[in-house]
Amino acid sequence: MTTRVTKPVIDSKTAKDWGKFVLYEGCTMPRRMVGSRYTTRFVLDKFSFDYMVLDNARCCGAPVMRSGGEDVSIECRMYNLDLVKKAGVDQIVSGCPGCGSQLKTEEAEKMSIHVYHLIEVLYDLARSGELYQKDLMRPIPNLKVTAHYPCHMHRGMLIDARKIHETIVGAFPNLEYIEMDDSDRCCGAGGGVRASQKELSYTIRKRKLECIEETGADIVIAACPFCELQIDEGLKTDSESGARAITPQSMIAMFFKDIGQEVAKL
Amino acid sequence: MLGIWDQWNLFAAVAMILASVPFLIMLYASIRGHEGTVLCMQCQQCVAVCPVRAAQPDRYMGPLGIEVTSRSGTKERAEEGGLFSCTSCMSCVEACPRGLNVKHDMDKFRASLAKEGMGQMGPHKHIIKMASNYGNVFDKEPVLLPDIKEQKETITKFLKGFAKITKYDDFKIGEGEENK
Ligand code: SF4
Ligand code: SF4
Repeated sequence: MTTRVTKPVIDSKTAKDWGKFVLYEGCTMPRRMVGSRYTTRFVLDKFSFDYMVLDNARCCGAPVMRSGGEDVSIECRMYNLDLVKKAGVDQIVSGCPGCGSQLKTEEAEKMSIHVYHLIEVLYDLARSGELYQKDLMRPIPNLKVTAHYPCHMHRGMLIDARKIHETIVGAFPNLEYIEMDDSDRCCGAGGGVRASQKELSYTIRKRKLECIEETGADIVIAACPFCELQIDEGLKTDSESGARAITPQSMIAMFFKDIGQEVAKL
Repeated sequence: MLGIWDQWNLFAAVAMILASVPFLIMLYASIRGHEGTVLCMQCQQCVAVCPVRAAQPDRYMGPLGIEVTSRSGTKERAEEGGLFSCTSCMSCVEACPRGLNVKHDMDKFRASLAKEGMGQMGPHKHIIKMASNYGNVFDKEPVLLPDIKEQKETITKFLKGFAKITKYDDFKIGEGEENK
């Protein structure tokens, strides 16, 4: 069952081209990064996408696989793919590349289920010229934006992160995109390392924070809720940069004039 | 003294045994699910890009170590060398000229270590238990996703914080309020 957070407003051609899909939220977004959970639905609703969220979806199994639980992990994956199939939908859009790469497998292909990352939806909106909605958005401030290219998006789901981020940021006036050094280097959170070895995870993150500082960016796009959590926490505790890590959908949602009013209606 | 025919047969037998060695290694490795590791030529391209190796050069065995230990099946070495420290970032996979998938081999090898109670730390066992029992890795709750309406407070806090970055000083949460 889907909870729509705002009425469809924009008659988007991209939304029509995409057709129906299941929005797979994973574990991190609905339970720890709920700001991004809201902004994901907000943006999809605004642009009139036809999507559903399956309330009984479970963990995709990726962290379980990294923890040595191969059998349970495969069960988790198959449970979710079966659930999507039973819902009569053949597309999954995941806001998390870890989940996306766990679900985007031969099994999914055999079931004729196509798995995408949410950023591919946003990219299509940017390419079609629909992403920037001058009348519905506040004036876009002068901001420097950089991006962390999540490992499981860039190398796992084989998405051209550079092209996609440049296009999305480039769709808005006044935003300057600056590519950081080592943009596709791991933030240190994955593989169960943040959960099991915090110090190691922070040592790896240090390099990411240095690269962010060098850009002088105000915003770091992290199109993975787990990377968002890891980098944003680091920016607050171990960096003087003052930047914030945020998912692309949160940045876009923030530009809409009425997001404050819509949240009040929840 | 062997006749020329017998010598030829002996030569052919030895040659066949030698020629089949790579296939036998491949067969053995594939039975254990590590067929790719046989192709590793130890060029260390993967080691050069590994972020965990850079962070722990003396402790972490690195992607090449994962390939070597998973091929040889030396689980103790893998445990000591930090098999569970890999972040699964796949930088090594991208760098490998032989197209080996170290992450895949690491996943398989972690599973075989875990079956013998090796390598896993408390949080790994916890994650598996949580996913099995509650369908998520964070909260001990029934498997349904939390209701987004109950998260209003956190969402509000998040947006207010981010409005400072976008310099929307007049940003407010509230019905009827003008959000210019
Ligand atoms: S890059 Fe590939 S072939 Fe080279 S050492 Fe690493 S795993 Fe082996
Ligand atoms: S996947 Fe693991 S071994 Fe390979 S580069 Fe990343 S951390 Fe190193």
